[in-house]
Amino acid sequence: MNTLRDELRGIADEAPLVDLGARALRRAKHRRATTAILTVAAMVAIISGGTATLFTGGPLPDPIVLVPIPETVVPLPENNVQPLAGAYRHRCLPDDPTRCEGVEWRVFTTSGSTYRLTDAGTASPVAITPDGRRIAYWNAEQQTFNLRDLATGQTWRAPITVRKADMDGENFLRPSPDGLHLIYTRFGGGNLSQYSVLIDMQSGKTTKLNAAWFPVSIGTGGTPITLVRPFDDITRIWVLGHDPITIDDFTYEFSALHANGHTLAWIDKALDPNRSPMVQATGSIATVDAITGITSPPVPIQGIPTTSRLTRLGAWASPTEVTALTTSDSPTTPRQSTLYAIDIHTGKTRKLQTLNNTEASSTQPGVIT
Amino acid sequence: MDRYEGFQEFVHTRQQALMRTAYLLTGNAHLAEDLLQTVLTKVATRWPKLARDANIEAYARKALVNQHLSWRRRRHVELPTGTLPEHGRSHDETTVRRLALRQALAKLTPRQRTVLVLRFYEDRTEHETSQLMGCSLGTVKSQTHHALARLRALAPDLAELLADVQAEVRR
Repeated sequence: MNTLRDELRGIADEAPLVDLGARALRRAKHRRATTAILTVAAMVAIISGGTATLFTGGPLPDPIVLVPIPETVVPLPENNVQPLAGAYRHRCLPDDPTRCEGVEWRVFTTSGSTYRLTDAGTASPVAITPDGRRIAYWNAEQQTFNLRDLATGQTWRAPITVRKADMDGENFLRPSPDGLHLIYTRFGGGNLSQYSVLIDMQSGKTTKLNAAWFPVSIGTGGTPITLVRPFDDITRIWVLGHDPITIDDFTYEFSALHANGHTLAWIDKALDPNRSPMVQATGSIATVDAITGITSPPVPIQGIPTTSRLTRLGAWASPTEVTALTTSDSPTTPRQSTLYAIDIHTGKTRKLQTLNNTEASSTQPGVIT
Repeated sequence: MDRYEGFQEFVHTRQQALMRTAYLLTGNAHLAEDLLQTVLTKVATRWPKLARDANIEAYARKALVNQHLSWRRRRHVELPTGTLPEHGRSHDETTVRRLALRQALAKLTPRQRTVLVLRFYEDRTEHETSQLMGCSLGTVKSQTHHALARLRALAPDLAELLADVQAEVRR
């Protein structure tokens, strides 16, 4: 049975799409200019003995607390977007107010706005630069990767073609801190071969990388490039241009290479054949000099709830702090993730951002997934 | 620094949600756009202060309601002119019901229409509705009661549609 609420929503659905920002701004500027002129005129009147008074704006109304109603999520504006705090795959509902279909990428900003990334195909991951200002994604129509600057709207297009069918398997995107260099790596599913390429988004130059290695990070300007290759109980780390080194741990969970060009952190793990799973995080963060291979003793992490576990590392938040993503493990509460900055010397943590279930399900700036 | 920094983003994100409410309040696409345009201009004019220390969304919604009520006091607003088709197999039930509702809504007083939109479209509590309309809780209750009674009288065929909200109001 239909209700009054349903019918009112039905009528509201007939509201035309509008784009009123620019017009409202023009009017406001005009009004401001007019008010300034009138203010001067009023002052002249007062000085000359007139009695008129002019108010250019009264106090704001008392604040009221309102619960926001579900909003219509609009496509990402071409420019002037605040830095991103993350991206996630949104599953469209049959009565979705945005009339989206299937699954689509959505991004949310540090100021709390959410947008549809309508030209990004969901076959590929998206990657956000650590400062949140640029996003790399696979453009389904162009069949290649784009880099977009959220503030200016400038977009760079990769000079390679990657079809949807080419993305069958595991795909990884690693942007440099400025986004202008991009590593795309595919560990093929089915008959596809492994493929890894470094793309200079400005010049269009591409360089093939050894596709047997997993990409971790790439520096501004395209170097240094850090790759890793886990084996049964060791992992090899290779900063291109240097000899690979080896650590006694099987892991993919590394931080980006530090700006000093040699420090790399990873989530410390221990193997115990008598428990399940046999490999578990120890609650410590470990570091290695990726050039010399010298490791530092793991440092116990402080300040993370016992119900949460460290799942990912990412870019460096300060010279001694690396970003880390934790996920709550409690079966009785909704899954929640938190971004921290962890000091690699003291293990002390600083909370950066709490993410809800949806937001936590995908990509955060600089986090290596 | 640009005094309007963040305004465009606010508009991009919220204008469609506000437009839906404006459309329900006015019942007319042009008037709704005009109404929202006026409100957004007001928001832009006060943007630096709003962005600093106010709930922008709440301000915009309150301004939307106030502007609508003050407009309706002095403006002649056209009512939907379509006539209701007679019931029959050739007419879609939903279309008939919706047109009947639109016509009935257009005949309500501005306050009655506003109270219905806020209570049953935006699902605001009576307290929130009173804040948005700048009236007492008692006025919200009585306006809601009168609005539903008038809808029933104007369009008896909508009785089924109103059943659940009437039960809600009686509680």
